[in-house]
Amino acid sequence: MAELAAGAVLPEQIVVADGQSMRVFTLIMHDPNPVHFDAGTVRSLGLGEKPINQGTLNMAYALNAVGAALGGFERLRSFRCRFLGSVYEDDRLVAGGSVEQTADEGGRSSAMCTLWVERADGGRVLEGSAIVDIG
Amino acid sequence: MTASPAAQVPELAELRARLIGHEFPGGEFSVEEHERWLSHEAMKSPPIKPPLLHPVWVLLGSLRGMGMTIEELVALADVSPDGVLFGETELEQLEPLRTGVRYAVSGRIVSLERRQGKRAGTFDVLAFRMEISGTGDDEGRLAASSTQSFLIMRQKRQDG
Repeated sequence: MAELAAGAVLPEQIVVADGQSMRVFTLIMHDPNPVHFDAGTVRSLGLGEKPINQGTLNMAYALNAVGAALGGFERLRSFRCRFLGSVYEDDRLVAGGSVEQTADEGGRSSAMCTLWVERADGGRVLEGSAIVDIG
Repeated sequence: MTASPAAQVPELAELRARLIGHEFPGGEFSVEEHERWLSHEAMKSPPIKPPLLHPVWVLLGSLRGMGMTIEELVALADVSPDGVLFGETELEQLEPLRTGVRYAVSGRIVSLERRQGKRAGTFDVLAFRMEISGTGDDEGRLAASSTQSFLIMRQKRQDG
């Protein structure tokens, strides 16, 4: 597990919002909304030219920055995020974060991390935070 | 979900009285190994030891087991899914979820607030909380919870 001291930067995760993953997630989520797989629907609604990535996938990218640092998610206690923008098929994204502070309480140590996901060409699409056990 | 504003703005007090505390039917869910594999690949997840699940499954499992669809949920607030956007998500993980385990879900609407945005105009923030607990020998033992808010677009701001 990486050292999660205050000020530590989490390893950045570079991902591409590929259409196959969006279609798999449509089935996983039982989500009938065609904006996630049908570009024609997205165009007809005036929302863009390509299918829109599921918010849950954007959320996963942010969490992955923590999971990569921790070697898994067993130490994750909580996570929160808000969605700031849409991600389209083939968008290249960077997810990352940093440790804002650590705390000791009741014999447990925890770290509070800020997290974000940005398009590689700029523009933040998600901001969040996570609390993880570190000892 | 996309965001076309609702045609009329329902009265807030009536909506709050009707919705806050409204309990979902609830239900149960489990996750199969092939769903773990495929979902983790789609999420670009770092390696996770089987049978543990990525924490996004706290929300996915909650939605599976809440006993109603998102369309039915937002219809309670007099809006179609076209007028709704994801707001904030909170997850709490007391223990990682696992494949092959049957979980129970219970949930209810916890808040409804009306706000004004410079660009968005009038919109409501509807939040609901769902809890995932064990079943069988683990019945009642809380494993995780999620709180999700939806932004319900009510009326575009009229400029000029």
